[in-house]
Amino acid sequence: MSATATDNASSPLHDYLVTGETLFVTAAVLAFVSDIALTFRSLVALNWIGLTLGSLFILGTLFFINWLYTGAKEARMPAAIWAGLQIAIAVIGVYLLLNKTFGWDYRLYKIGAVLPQALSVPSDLLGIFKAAAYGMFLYSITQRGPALFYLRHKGGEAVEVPSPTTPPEDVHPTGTVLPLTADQTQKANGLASALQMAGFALMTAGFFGALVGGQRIATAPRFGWLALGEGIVLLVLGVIALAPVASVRNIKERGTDTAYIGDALTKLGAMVNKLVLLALVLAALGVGGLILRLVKG
Amino acid sequence: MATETTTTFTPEQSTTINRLSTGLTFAAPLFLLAGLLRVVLGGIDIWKGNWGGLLAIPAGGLLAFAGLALLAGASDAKYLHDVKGREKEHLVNTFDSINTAFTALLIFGCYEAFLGFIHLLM
Repeated sequence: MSATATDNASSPLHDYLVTGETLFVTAAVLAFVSDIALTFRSLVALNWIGLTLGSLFILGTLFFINWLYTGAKEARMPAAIWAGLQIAIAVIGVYLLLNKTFGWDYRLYKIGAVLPQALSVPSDLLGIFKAAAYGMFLYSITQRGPALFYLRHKGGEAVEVPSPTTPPEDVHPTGTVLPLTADQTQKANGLASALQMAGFALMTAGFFGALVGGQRIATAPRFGWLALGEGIVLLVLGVIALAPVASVRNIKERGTDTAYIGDALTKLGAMVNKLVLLALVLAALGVGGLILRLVKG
Repeated sequence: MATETTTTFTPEQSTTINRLSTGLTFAAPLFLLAGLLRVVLGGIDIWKGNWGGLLAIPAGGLLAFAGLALLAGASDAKYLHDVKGREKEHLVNTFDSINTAFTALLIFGCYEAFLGFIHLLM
C-alpha cells in the first residue's frame, strides 16, 4: 500500500493511514463490484439500455475512484454527488421491483416493468447491495474517519496526527478551559449517548414508517403518502441527530477546553437548524392529516 | 456578594450560542405543534370509531414533551449567552434540556418503530 512507502512503518500515523487506505479501497471496490454485477445481469437478461448505462456507471465510478486516489480535495464533492446519484438510482430500482412483489401501488406496475432494467437495476438483492456499497463509499469520503483522513493526508492537507486520545479533528484547543466537574462532563457524555440512541431509534422508526406508508398507498393513497412522508422525515431526523455526537463526546474524551465546547455547541446549533425545517414538515404533514380527516367527514 | 463578569467564550462562540438559542426557540413550538396535532388526530380517529387512534396519543405526547424540553433548552442557551460568569451551570442545563428532549425522541422512535414493525407483520 502506498502509505507504507512514505511514512515510518512503526508510527501510529502509519497504522492509521494503512487502515484508512484499506477502508477506502474496500468501499471503492464494493461499489465497483456492485455495478459490475448489475451490468452483468443486464447482459445475461439482455437489456441494451441497462447494459449501456451500467457500463457508463462502471466507467464513471472508476474515474472518481482514480481521481479521489490522487488525494485531490476538489474530487470529493463531485464523487459524493456521484455516489448519491448511484444510491438514488439503486433505491428507485429496488422500490419499483419490490412494489411489483408486494403490490404497494398498482399505478407503478407499468413503469416498474421497464425502468429498473433500464436503470441497470434488474435485481432487487443486487440493487440493495449497490445502495449499501455506495452508502459505505459515500460515508468513507465525507465523514471524518480513517478513510477521509488518508485522502486528506495524501492530498497534502494539514491533518493532526491521530491517537486514541486525539482523533483526527480540525478542532485545536485554545488553552481556555471551562473547569467542569466529572459529573458535569458526564452530562455531556450522556447527551452524546442520547443523541446517538435517538438517532438510531428514529432511523428505524422512519424506515418502518416509510415501508408502512408505501404499503398504504395502494389502499388509501393520500394517507399512504402522508405516512411515507412522515417516515422519510423521521429517517432524516435520525441521521441529523447523529451529526453532533462525536463533537459532544469530545468534551468528555478530550477535555473541557472552550474550543471543544464551542465546537459541540456549533454542531448542536447546526443540528437544531435542520430540526426546525423537519419539525415544520412534520407539523405540515399533521395539518395535512387533519384536513384529510375533516374533509372525508 | 461580588458577581463574576468575565466570560470564557470568544465573540464567535457567543454568536454560535445565540444561534443555538434562536434555533431551539423555533424548533420547540414546532415539535409541540406536531405532537399536539398527533394527539388531535388520534382523538378524531377515536371519535370516528377507529380505536387505533389511541396509539397516536402517546406518540403525540412524547413529541410535545420533546418540544417542551427544547423550549427549556432555548432559555438555558439564552442564559448561557447572556449571563456572564455562570457559564458552567447554564452549559450543563442546556445539555440537560437537549438530553431530555432527545430521550423523549428516543422513546418516541422506539415506540414508532415497534408500531411500524407490527403493521408490517399484519
